[in-house]
Amino acid sequence: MDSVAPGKKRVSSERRKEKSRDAARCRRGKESEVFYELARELPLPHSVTSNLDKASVIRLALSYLRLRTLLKTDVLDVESELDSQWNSSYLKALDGFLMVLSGDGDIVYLSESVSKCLGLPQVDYTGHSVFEFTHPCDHEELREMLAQRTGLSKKTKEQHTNRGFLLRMKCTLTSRGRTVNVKSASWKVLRCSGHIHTTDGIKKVVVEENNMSSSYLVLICESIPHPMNIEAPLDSRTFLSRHTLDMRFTYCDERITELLGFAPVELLQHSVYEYYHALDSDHMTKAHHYLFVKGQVCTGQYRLLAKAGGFAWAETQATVNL
Amino acid sequence: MSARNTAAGGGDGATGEMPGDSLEGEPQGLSVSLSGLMTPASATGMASGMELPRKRKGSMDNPETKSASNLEEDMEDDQGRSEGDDQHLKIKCVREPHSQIEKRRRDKMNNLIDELAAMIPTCNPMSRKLDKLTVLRMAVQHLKSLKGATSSFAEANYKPAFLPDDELKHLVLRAADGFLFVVGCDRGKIVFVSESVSKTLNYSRTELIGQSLFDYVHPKDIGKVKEQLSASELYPRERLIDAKTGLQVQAELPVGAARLCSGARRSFFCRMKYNKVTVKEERDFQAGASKKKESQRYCTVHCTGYMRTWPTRQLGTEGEAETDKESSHFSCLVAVGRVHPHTLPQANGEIKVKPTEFVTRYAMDGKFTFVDQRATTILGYLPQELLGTSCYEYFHLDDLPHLADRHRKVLRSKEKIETNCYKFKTKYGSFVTLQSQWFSFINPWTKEIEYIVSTNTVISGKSNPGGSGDKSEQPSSSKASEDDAKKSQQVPIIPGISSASGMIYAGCIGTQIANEIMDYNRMNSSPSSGNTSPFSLLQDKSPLALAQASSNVPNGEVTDVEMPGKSSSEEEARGGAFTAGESLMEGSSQLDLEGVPGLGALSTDEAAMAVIMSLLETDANLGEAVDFDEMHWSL
Repeated sequence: MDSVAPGKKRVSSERRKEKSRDAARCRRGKESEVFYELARELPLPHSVTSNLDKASVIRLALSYLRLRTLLKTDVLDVESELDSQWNSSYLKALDGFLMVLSGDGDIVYLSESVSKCLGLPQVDYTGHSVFEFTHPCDHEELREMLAQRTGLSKKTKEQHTNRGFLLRMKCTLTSRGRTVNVKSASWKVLRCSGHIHTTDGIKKVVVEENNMSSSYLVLICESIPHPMNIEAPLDSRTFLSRHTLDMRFTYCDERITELLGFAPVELLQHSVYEYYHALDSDHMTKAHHYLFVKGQVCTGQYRLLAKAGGFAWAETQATVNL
Repeated sequence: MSARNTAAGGGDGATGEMPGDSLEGEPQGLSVSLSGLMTPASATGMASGMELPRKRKGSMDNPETKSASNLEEDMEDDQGRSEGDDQHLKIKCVREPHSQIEKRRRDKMNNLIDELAAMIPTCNPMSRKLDKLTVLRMAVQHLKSLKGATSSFAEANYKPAFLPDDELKHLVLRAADGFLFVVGCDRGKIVFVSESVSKTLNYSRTELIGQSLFDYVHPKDIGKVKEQLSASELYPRERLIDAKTGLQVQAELPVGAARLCSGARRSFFCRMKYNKVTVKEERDFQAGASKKKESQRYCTVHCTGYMRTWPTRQLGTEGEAETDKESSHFSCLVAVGRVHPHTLPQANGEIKVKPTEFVTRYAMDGKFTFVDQRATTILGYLPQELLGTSCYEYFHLDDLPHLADRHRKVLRSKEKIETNCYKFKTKYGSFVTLQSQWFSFINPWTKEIEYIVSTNTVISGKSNPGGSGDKSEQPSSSKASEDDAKKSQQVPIIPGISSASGMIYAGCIGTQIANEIMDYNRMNSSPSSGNTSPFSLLQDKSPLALAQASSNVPNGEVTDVEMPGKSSSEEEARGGAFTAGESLMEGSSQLDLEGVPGLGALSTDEAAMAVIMSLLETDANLGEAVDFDEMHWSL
C-alpha cells in the first residue's frame, strides 16, 4: 500500500509539473507570436523590427501611440500638392535631429537623423527616458525645461514656451565616423531649442490613468561644429579666433580686419572682454561659464567693438580644445 | 517558447556554476539592437524549436567559456531577454543574483504592459486588469487600425516611418518658428516658401514666391547670401581648417562642381525683412499724422540647408531661363530659416558697474605691506613702488587729519572703520578720490595687530567733503606751499614731528600713531608679547648689507642726510619712515639678521628698504625710482 501511494503521487506530481510546463511553453509561444505581430505593426522597416526584443517592442508601440495622441490634438492644415512635395525636406535641411519628450522625460520620438549625429539608431532611444542618455550634470536643467511653468506671470497671458539650452548627450560616433559601444560613448554638446506644448485634447480619463503629463517638449537638437571639423564653409562674415582660457587672443583670422578693423596682431594677448559691449558682458560671462562647464557653447547675439568705434552684432560658437 | 526555456536554463546554469555571474544580463540587448547582422538568426529564433538543440548545447559548455557562449546564445535569443537594452542593468553591480535581475525585468515588462494598456482605447474601459496576452493582442489590432487610417498599403512606395513627413514637418514647425524656402542659385529667385512664413516674417507666401530673395534680405547681408548660393567663382579661396594645427589653410582647390553638388550643406544667418503691418500703423497712415517711415524692420534668421540640383525638365512651367549656364540643371538651396531663437536678454539699459576696488594692507604705522595688482591701473604705481612707503605720503594734506584719526581708531577697535572720501596721489601727480574701509587684523595667537586691511573704492564725481578740491599737477611745489601754510595745523595733531627746513614728514604721522598704540598696549598688556611683530609678517629677506651703516642714525641726523635741495616730500617721508623704523624697534625683533649689527634694530624689510633708498638718494642724488630688480620682493 505504502509503496504504491508515493509512486502514484510521484507520477501525479510529475504529470502536474509536466502539464504546467507545457502550459507555460504554450503561453510563451503565444506571447512570442503576439510580440512578433506587434513588432510587425510598428511603422518601421522590417529589418529593424525583427531585431527587437520584447521590451523594445512595447516601448516603441507606446511611443507610437503617444505620438499619435499628441498629434491628434493638433489640427493639421490641408496641404497642397506643392507643399507635400517639400515635406521631406524639412528634416533634411536641418542640421540636427528632432526630439519629442514627454513631460516626464520619456523620449516619445526621435527622428532618424539622430544616428548621424549621435551614432545610435532611432529605435534605441525611442521609449526610453532621456535621462539615460544625457550627462548627469545636465539632468537638473533638463527637468526644469520639461516642467511647465504654470502661472509664471499673471500679467502676460501667454507663457513662455520657448526653450533653449545646451545638453550633453551620449555620442557613439568617433571623429572618424565609426561607431563605438555605448559604454565607451563620449559626450556631445547639443544645442537644443524648441517649444513646450500641451495636449489639451486628451480626455481627462486617459490622463489620470496614465499619470501622463499632458505636456510635451519638441526640440530641434543640433551639434555645434567643432572648429577642426567644419562642414559648411565659413562665409566671408565669419572669422576664427583662438584664446587662452582667460579669453586672451592667441590667434585671430585676418578676416577680422575687414569686419572690425583690427589687425590680428593688435588683438593678441588682449582679453576678448575688452571688446564686448558693456550691456552684453553679463551675458557673455554666463556663456563662458557654460563653455567651461559643457565644453561647447553657442552664445546669443552680442556686440563687438570695432576699431573705429561703434559695435557690430556677432554670434559665436566656441569649443574648448584640450 | 522552447528557446526561452533553454536560455533561462542556461542562465540558471550559469548562476549555478558561477555564482553572481550576470554577464548574460548585460551585453545582449545592445548587440541585438545595434547589429543588423542578427537578422537571419533572430528570424529563425522566432520559429519554434530549431534553436533548441543549439541552445541546449550552449548551456552545457564548461564554465570557462560560459560567458562567451552565453553571449552567443543571448545574441540570438532576442525574445528571452526582454530587458534587452535596459541600460540600468549594465551599469549596476555585476554581483547581483540572477533572480533579482529576472524580477526586475519582469517588473519592467509589467509596467510597460500596463502603460500600453492605458494607451489603447479598447483596453481602457475595462475595469479589471487585463492579462498580458490580451493587451498585446489589442495593441496589435489598434496599431493595425491606425495604420489603415494614416496611410494606405496601396501606395507604391510604402515606406513605413514612425512619423509621416507631413507630421514631421508639423513637429518641426512646432519646435522652431521657421519656414522652409527654396531659392534658385543663380538669381536668388524664391521658388518655394512654406506657409509658416506668414507667422515669422509676416508676409504671405504668395507675396514671396517668384520674388528675388535679395529684395527681402538686408542690403548689407546680400553679399553674404550671394556667397552661400553661388558657385566657386565668387569664392576666391576655400577656407579650410587643418585638423592638426587648427589653423587655416589657404588652398586653391578646384572646387567647381563639388561645392554645388547635391547635399552640400549651408549654414548662415542673415537679416530678413519683417513686414510690420499692424492695424495701428494703418490708422496712422490714414490720419497722415506721422511721416511715412522708410526704415524697415529686420529680424535675424538662421538658415540651414542643403543644395539640390534638378534637371530643368522636371520643373515644368517653372522652367528657368537660366539653363544656359547650368546646362539644363537647376540648382537651388533648400533651407529652413528659423527666426533666431538666441536673442539676448537685453538689460534695461542699466549697466551694472562693479566699483573699482583694490585692496591694500598696511603695517601698524601705515606703511604698505601689500598692494593689490588692481591698484596699478588706478594709482599708476606698481605694487613694488608703494611697499614700504607710508600711506600718509600719498594722502592729500587736507585729508591727513581725518585719516590720522581713522588710523587711530582702527588700531584701537576691532571693527571695520570707514573713512570719508579722500584724495590719494597717483604716480602722475593727479589725485584720485578714494573711500576706504579699514580694519585691523589681529593675530589670534599673539593677540597683536598684524596689519590693517584696507579695501579702497574709487569714487568718481563726488566732491571731497573733508579735503580740498583742487588737484595739483605739480605736487611738490604746491604741496610745499601748502605744507608751509598748514604746518601749524599739523602740529597739534601729531606731536613731536621735527620740521626742519619747513618740510613735513608725512610718514611720521603713521609711525607716531602706531607708537602711541603700542605704548598704550604695552602699558596694558604683558611685555612678552613682542609688540613689534607687525613688521615681521610678509616680507622676505632683502639684502640688508647696506642698511647696517645707517641703522643707528637718530632723528636729527636723518634730516641732515637729506639733501636740502630736494623738495619732494616723499623722500623726506622716507627719511621719516626710517626714523620710525628705528624708534619702533625697541622691542624684540623677530627677524634673524645675522652678521648685521645694528640692523637688529630694524626688523622690517620695509624700514630697511627705506633706509637703503634714502641712502641711495642721498649718495647718488637720485630722486627717481630705484631699480627693484635686485630686491627680492615677494608680492
